[in-house]
Amino acid sequence: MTALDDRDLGTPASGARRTVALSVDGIAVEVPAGTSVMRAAALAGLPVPKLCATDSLEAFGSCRLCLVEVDGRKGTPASCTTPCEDGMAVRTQTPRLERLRRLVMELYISDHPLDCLTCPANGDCELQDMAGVVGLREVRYALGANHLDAPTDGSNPYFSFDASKCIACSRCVRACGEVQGTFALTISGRGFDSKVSAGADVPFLESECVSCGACVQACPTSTLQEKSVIELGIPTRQVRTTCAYCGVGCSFVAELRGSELVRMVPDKAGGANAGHSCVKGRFAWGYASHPDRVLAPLVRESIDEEWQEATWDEAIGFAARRLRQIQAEHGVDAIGGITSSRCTNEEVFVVQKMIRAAFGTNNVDTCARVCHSPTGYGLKRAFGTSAGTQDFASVDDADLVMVIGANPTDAHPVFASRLKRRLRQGAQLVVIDPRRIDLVRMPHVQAEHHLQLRPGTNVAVMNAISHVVVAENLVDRAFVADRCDPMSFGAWEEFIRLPENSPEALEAETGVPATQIRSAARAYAAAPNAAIYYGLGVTEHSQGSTMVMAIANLAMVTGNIGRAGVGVNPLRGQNNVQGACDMGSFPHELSGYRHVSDDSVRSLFEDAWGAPMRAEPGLRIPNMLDSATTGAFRALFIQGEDIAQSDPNTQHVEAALRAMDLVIVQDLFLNQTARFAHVFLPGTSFLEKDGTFTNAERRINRVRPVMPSRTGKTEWEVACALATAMGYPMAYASGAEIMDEIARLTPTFAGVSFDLLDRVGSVQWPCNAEAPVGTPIMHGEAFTRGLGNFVTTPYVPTDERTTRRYPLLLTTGRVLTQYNVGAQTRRTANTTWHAEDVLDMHEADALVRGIADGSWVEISSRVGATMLRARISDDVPAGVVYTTFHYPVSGANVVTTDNSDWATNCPEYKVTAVEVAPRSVAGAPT
Amino acid sequence: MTTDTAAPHPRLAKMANQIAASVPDAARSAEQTAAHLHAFWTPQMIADLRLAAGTDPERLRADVHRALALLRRD
Repeated sequence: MTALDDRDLGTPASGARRTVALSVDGIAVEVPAGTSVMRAAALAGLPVPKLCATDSLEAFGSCRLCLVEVDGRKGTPASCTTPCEDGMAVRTQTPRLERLRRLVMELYISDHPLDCLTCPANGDCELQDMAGVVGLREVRYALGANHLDAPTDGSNPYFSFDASKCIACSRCVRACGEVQGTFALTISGRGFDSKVSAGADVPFLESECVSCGACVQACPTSTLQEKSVIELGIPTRQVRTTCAYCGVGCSFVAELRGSELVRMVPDKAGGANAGHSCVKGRFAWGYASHPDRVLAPLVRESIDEEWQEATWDEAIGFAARRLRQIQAEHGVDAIGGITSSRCTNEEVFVVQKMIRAAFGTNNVDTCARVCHSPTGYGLKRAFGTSAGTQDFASVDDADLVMVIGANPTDAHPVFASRLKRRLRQGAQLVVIDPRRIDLVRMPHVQAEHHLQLRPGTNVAVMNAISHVVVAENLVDRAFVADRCDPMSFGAWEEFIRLPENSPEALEAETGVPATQIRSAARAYAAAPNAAIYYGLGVTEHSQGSTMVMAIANLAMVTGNIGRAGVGVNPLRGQNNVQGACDMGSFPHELSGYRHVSDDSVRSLFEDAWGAPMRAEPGLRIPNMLDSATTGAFRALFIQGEDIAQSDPNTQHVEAALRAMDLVIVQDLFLNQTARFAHVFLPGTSFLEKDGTFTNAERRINRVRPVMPSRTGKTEWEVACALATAMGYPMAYASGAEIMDEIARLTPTFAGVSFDLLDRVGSVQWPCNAEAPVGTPIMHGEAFTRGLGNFVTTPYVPTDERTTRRYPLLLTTGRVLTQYNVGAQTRRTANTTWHAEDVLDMHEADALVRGIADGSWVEISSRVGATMLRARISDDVPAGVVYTTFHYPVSGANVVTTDNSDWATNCPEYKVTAVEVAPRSVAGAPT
Repeated sequence: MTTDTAAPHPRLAKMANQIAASVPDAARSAEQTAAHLHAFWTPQMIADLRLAAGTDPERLRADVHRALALLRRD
């Protein structure tokens, strides 16, 4: 069922510019050509009864409830499948239509349980509504053959399927195909035997269903129903907010009874998701009320002691005293902090301000350090802006999509659905990935090119592609001449032409046949609109920044920048990675990516904050940890991040944390890092926050408090209190006031305010006087830096090489149902699908090691070893193994090394030389 | 104010070598390495690297030594 206040116009909007004029029940209506009569009537305020139609799906014309009369035409056509025409005169209410609709409705109800008063959908059921609308007063058919005893499938943890209530309208089947693109559902049987089946008529949980919720949302009855609604009842109020999982940043309508959250329904008006969702955002929000939540501050003198509950004043006073003492003994720069991509822009901004103004140091970094910091570096050098170039809707205009080092169907599922829709329409797909990700081949999607490169050779592959473009004269000379810096292009062209960059020369290194690279390069260059989407498989390498610049080079040399359907698009891992970076979380940049050495920028902040700003960069996270092990760095404030699980080389991270005099953790749960903490400050879930998130397309979305803070404080209040206790008074009346300060100090946010966002829904930065409602697509007429900058990108192999002792390469990633370190999703029923991390390995590698599918193995690298279960899979090629890092018990980062990107220190998670050996269950982690 | 004087972390030399090997223009690697260190490293990290360059010069590439000389001149 859709959100309570959803206004469903029945069929999707037409994109046509030409309009047609008609009359509906005598009312003149003008609509875009191709609009259905049903939609035109609804727009005129004359909704036609319907059951199988909904405006998120193409018209189907099966329920026969939406019949209308059209002057001059015989019969009673279905309004959903009848397009409007000029001069058409439509009647939606006549005695004949009323009679027909009642008859249709009577047939439906004759095979439907008459249990409305006890039905979970009572009051929120389209079938019930339509029975009322058409004036059904009796059912004249005697009880005959029926489906009233059809079974209920309750296998899915989040929704049930009650077949007795199904009217076979196919909305769920079509939603699974058209909206989600999974095609897990079908109508099996014919005539009276028609029924909705998941997969090959198996329970939902055993089918290919990905639990996105699209079918539940589409269902007009209680057949597919959220279990939370069955348990709690129909919600009575709504709050519009933003999901706190991945970088897609879906808008949701939180529906509650009083202060109890009943369900999250994706918002059709959401700029990023347009009414779609995934299993995490739609259903996995129960962690917010999980008993593991810590709601009161905790302190302890030493990490060997038990935690002691404290008041806020006690905990903050303790932290402030210790911080000041450490600075007095070891210097101002002996302390620092980390901001979180799971927190709002406002919370992040206040924490980095606390560190710069109250701590007096630039030792502030953010968890983007370990994911997309190379994106910031690379795109700023190439284009002048540390952000992706497009909005998500841009993919609808792409003729070719190149997906590099990303797995959107798992990590960015709602964008993946949009991408798959475009691919089904005929766009070509190039996948560059060591693994055979789902997009390579899945229902109605097949990549034309899969460049299955050896981990660590991204730059070699990208250079080879650009080499083909230049050598085969596929360059968009007009674009390069108009838009790009000629000096940099000349140097780059000379470099990329070198024979050493040819696909043939690099074939042995990359493992990709030269013919495949040449074909993919030609296809990319020839496509009218070619778009690149990339993920952490690009950034988390020793040449992550180089690869980002190599991607930018390819886009520029083919003219694929500055319009819909093209561009360079980083898919951000966490919900507010973009925002955390925008807010000045990097140690060398103030908000808006302005370097701390810029006197005029520093002076702006000094005037606003009344505190001196340091002109030199501070320490990055890896530098902080390294310095801690040498004794120079002594105290760390960590906002919403679990570095002991998420950061590489766990042994090194733990040694650094253990060496510090003071670790302050602000989080929902006592995470792995909290084992080394002296102060724990309870944080708030996204359901309690009042602020904004900025997604991967630079879209600033409101996060509204769905319920009061369970800790009694907002996170920014806590940071303000700590700053004040440190001697730098800081206070705000609201999140809106913080955003106003961000806007005053950050040119790209100059026009942003809560008022604007509440008025227009969302905006994409830059949002300022030149772009008062934001900028969906960047670099339209000129690059932010003026002329596009080509950077030469020599391929430098990683130091992390396989040897006889470590002959395999480990690469890591994520699964659909879990999120990052799993702190949230492990505390939901999503564990049903992924209860532990496993190691994918190719059959050939398993065979020679005597490893069976499902057996325990030890994986060891140069820095550590851990155990998990093996899964034999041909998704990985021989020589490559793959796992996820969602569970601390297996701890994938125990084996990853502290190798990092040369420019940003982003860890090289994607390449670790390892060996895998069978182990008995006795040694398995518990 | 700077932090305590402590033994520099051994990774600094590796990071500096990696920067010098990876900057876009190999012919100007010393200048580009110096600019990168200036833009992204703390003064203490640069000081620590200089210390490492003095105690164990063989561990650093020649262009890193030149980069440190350029930074001293600035």
